[in-house]
Amino acid sequence: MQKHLQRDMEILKNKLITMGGETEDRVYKATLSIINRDAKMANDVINADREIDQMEVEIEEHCLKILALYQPVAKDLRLIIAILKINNDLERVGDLAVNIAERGAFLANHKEFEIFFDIKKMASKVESMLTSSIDCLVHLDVPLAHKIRAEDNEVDAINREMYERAKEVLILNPDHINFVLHTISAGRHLERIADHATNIAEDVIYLEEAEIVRHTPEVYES
Amino acid sequence: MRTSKLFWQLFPSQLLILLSAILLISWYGALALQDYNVEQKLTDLEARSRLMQPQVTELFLAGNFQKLEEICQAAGRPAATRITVLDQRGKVVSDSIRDPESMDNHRQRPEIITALTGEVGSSRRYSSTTNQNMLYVAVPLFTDRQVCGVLRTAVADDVLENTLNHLFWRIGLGSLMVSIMAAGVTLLAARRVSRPLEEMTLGAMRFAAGDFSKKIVVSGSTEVVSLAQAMNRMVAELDNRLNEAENRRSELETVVSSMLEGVIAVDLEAKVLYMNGAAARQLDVSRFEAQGGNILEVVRNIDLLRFIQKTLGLNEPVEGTVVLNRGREDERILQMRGAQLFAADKARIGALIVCNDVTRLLHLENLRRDFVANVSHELKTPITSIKGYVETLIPEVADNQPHFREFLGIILKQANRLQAIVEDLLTLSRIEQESHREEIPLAAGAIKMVLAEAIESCATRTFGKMIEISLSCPDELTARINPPLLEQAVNNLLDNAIKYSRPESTVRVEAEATKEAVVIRISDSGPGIPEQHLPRLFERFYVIDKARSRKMGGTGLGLAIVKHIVQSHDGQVTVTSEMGRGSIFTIRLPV
Repeated sequence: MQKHLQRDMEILKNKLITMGGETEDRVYKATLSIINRDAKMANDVINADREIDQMEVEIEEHCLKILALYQPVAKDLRLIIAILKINNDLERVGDLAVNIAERGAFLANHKEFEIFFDIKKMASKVESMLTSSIDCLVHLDVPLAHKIRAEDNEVDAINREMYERAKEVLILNPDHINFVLHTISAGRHLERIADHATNIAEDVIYLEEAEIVRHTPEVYES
Repeated sequence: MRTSKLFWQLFPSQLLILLSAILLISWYGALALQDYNVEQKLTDLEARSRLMQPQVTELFLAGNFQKLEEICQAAGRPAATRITVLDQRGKVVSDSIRDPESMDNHRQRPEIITALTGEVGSSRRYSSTTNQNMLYVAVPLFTDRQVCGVLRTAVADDVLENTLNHLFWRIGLGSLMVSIMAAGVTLLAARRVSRPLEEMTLGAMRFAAGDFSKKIVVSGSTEVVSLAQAMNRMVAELDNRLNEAENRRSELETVVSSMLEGVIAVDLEAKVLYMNGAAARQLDVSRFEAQGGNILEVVRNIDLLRFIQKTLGLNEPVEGTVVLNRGREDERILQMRGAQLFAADKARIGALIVCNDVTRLLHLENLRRDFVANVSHELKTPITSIKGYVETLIPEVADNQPHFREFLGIILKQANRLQAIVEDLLTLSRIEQESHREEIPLAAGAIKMVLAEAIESCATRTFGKMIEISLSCPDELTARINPPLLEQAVNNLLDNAIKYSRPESTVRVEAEATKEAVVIRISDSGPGIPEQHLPRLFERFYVIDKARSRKMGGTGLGLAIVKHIVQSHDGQVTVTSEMGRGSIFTIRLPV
């Protein structure tokens, strides 16, 4: 029985890792489509969202199957709960990647506008957070999870800066409003992805230490 | 299974045999002894009776019972013998122990019954008079050959019983001693048998632990010694085999680990079975951490994951590219080839992946591609201006300077040639770049239209040689194509065909659909191409006859462009040729 449970958990973990990899790929391509103004890549991401949704359903069903079949307790139960939540987070990240790609598709037709904030820096930060969050899930690495929580503050800072810049741009060129709104939207989505990555990290902390840290702000040295 | 020591397996049976033997013998002995004893006593009693018989007969017949009683008591008391005299009706007339008056009639006693018939009777039973087991002998008393009474003598039987009890005690004590001795002997025997077995067990455990250096040495029975020898031989053989296997393994390990290509073996669940040093370096992981871990957890790269899943899912070799650290400065591109791993019994056990770091190669390739494009572009401008000036000069040359006109003509011709080459180079690099970035849009299109347009644009070139171009293509034939590019490819092939065909011949263009491809065939009736040139025909600047080619105005790039266009359609272009009969160029496009 225990052996079967371990096997099923292993399969579940692999599925989640695969889904993590796929979402990472989507986020990367979506941001790249904005940076390079690449409409084709943006469309690729928009069209491939079904795969992620499919994976989410599969993982959820697998979790429910394990819960019903083995009635896991303690650590196994926490892992299942964490996976259920992370699964949700990843699916949302997939959706956000599609949203960003839609902005990318729009911006690809307006190559004459310069993006007014450091989206490359923000994107690479967010991507590294997402990658790290899945890494810390794979290796159950609590210190890394705390590091991700700290990094979220940096992304928030970039996000605030983006709004300041947007105001400046709008004051100078009020007719760029459409373009500015799309860019802000992409930035907001990136920031949301960072939040989801933080959620995943917090779930990993819960999984390892059985302590819910979600709503307890921590002071990090930055 | 419950196990017991050899001693406990031997001892109970030994004990059982011994004890049953003792019991049987002592029971038989006791029985014989008892019989003998009873016999003796009976004879003895009869003798005593016979001794007293005359005197008793006399007194009995005289009716002197008083005297009889006295004699009985006098004779009986010291000899511990009970003497009783009865008349022929069984009434007791005298007894050495009790008052005859108080005794019941003895006629029914078995010994009396016998005696009354005139025989000597005997019996062994419990006496209610004396409260113990007694032996009785009854002798008949005769008058004139008639039984007139019975003289009975009796002794207590308990002497015998005491003796036998005593004897049984001794036998019991003896049995105990024998049991202890048997236990001791069995223990020794069991030791003798089990000692070598225990030594062999220790030896076997030593072997199991991998220590083959010490052999098993035992002394004992032939069977045990030969078992030990057999085990020693087995171990020696095993040692050899293991060493051989170890050697082979380390050879293989050396070969694989010194390969420059990364080698990874994974099982069906994508767990790492083996990873060589090169693979660990390329994937930037620790070999020892990777061992046994799931490759998805170890590397965490979506490209690699997809590649491995594809390899595990398919039944044929797979090729692919994996980008590590994408978008970062240390981006690395690995070219991977995967194949399925099969066990000896043909069952699939996983996949083997060989990876090559092609980052530098691709980088150089990109540089080269950019270089060609840039150079061609840079050359275009000066050539155009040279051409322009030469063309301006030619009409200005005075008629008396024919050399000038001729030289300017040569300059113009060469400039045109140069321009053609640069144009072709640019075309080539554009196709290459676009197909590399997968930017060439392909859509289902009618083949016939493309072929007809290509033929039309070549029409002007056929007039001088009176060459006819025939087209045979089904109207409904379609394929995934990029019409302008395909037209250019067909154009280039037609151009060559026209150039090399004899005047007044026919160039045939045929297209047809087969099961797996759309085939376009362009055949000419030219001189043919020598076989040794065929493999390299589609390389850039490869020409068969330099002088001739130049005369014909070729750039040496036409066929290379054809090849690139067809490749960007995921198709193939091939050529067959027969000297003196002509050549056939075949384009195959996937359906």
